[in-house]
Amino acid sequence: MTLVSSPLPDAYIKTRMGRTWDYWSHNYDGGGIYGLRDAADHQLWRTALAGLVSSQPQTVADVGSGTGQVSLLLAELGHRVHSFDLSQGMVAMTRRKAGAGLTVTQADAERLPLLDQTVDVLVNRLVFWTLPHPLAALHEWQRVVKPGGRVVVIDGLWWQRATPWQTIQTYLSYVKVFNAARRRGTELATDAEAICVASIRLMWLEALYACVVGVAIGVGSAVSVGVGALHVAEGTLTAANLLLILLLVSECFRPVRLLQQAFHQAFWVTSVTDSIFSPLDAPLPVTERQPPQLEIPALNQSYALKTSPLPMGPTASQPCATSRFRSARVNGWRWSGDPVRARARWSICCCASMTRNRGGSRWAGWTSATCRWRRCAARLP
Amino acid sequence: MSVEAIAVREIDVFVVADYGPNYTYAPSAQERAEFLIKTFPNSAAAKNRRYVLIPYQYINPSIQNALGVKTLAEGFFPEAFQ
Repeated sequence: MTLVSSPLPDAYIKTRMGRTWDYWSHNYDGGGIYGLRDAADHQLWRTALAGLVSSQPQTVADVGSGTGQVSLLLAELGHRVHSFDLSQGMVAMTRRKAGAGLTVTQADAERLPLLDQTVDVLVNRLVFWTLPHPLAALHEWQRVVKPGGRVVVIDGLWWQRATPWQTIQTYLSYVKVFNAARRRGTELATDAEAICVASIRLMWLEALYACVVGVAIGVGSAVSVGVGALHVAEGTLTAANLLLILLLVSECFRPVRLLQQAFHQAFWVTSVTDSIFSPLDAPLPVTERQPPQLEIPALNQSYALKTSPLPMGPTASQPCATSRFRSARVNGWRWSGDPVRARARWSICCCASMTRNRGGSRWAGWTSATCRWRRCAARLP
Repeated sequence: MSVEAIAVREIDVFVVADYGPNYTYAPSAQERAEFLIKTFPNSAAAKNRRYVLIPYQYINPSIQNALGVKTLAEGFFPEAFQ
């Protein structure tokens, strides 16, 4: 089972994701997505979340906390909450509201800065769909949760997968992970069974349904093509009419396919029941784990900055190597020693300066003999 | 879906997502409902000025989805709730 993941470099996606949510963070509560409308909504969510965690104070990680709605509710219930979000803006919004029992850190949901088995419950809401590697995230969350703890995913199926088969594949991979988690002793949100089991069945129904529809369409078209071809061979039907009939047949299936979308905004919390998913008890692939970065109390470091391998342009400590005669270290390469790389670097630098000039920025007045990067004083050759 | 494709359909009710009073990224729900009525003046919905404002969190995946169903039902069949 493989999930379709993006071909773009991970760090690039993560940077863009962070910036996107930075943009939305300023008015996210105003949008009513997380923001609770009234006391009744507040009570509703509070009750739902209280059902997911123990009545005793627990350590809870809220991954992708956004403006901290879920975190704040959990902290209100008396738990120690650690919120993580990729977006600096969202982190700032949560921090503004954070009271006692709530720490906020900027971190990637797929690589949490936590040691193994440190939290009792890991919650995330409306985060799963944004992740470029959802399966990796599930593995990571399992790692962080204590034996007997819970991973609670609150999300929706936001859009239809490209093909029914992809839908099934995706579901099966998720289900497999959760099943393995259970065998390891990680209990997954069993208290929310009233919602969970129903929604899991919905998911399954959809998967089976997609399967049935796919097979029906396949068989239907195959039969009609066969019958039509026979008629064409006998001479009772022209080929053009056959095409028309086939088109009509495929149109007939369209409303059936649209029915599938009824499920897509369904609310699902993922849980596991062995009776349903026992055929999927295959061993999981062994994934190589990142060494744990930090203890929970020392979470004030910026995780994203440390691990970003993107070349972000020259800085004071890493000046840009504009001159091929100059020995400079950029991103770990000695550019000057290699004429090919030096030329490449030089052209990048020229392009950058040209772009800035064309934009009519304040750098335009600089002479061409000087590199126009902000903090770089190198001379062009 | 294009505006033409929507105009062909027989629309009885417009459903407009309500992002709340503090949202600045889009016009208010009322304004967007008015826009729809102006854009599709020949539809039954525009003639009867029928539209449902549904809070955005009711249509996002959440426990409030059930309330969303109620909101829609009240909007579609107001006579049943009198």
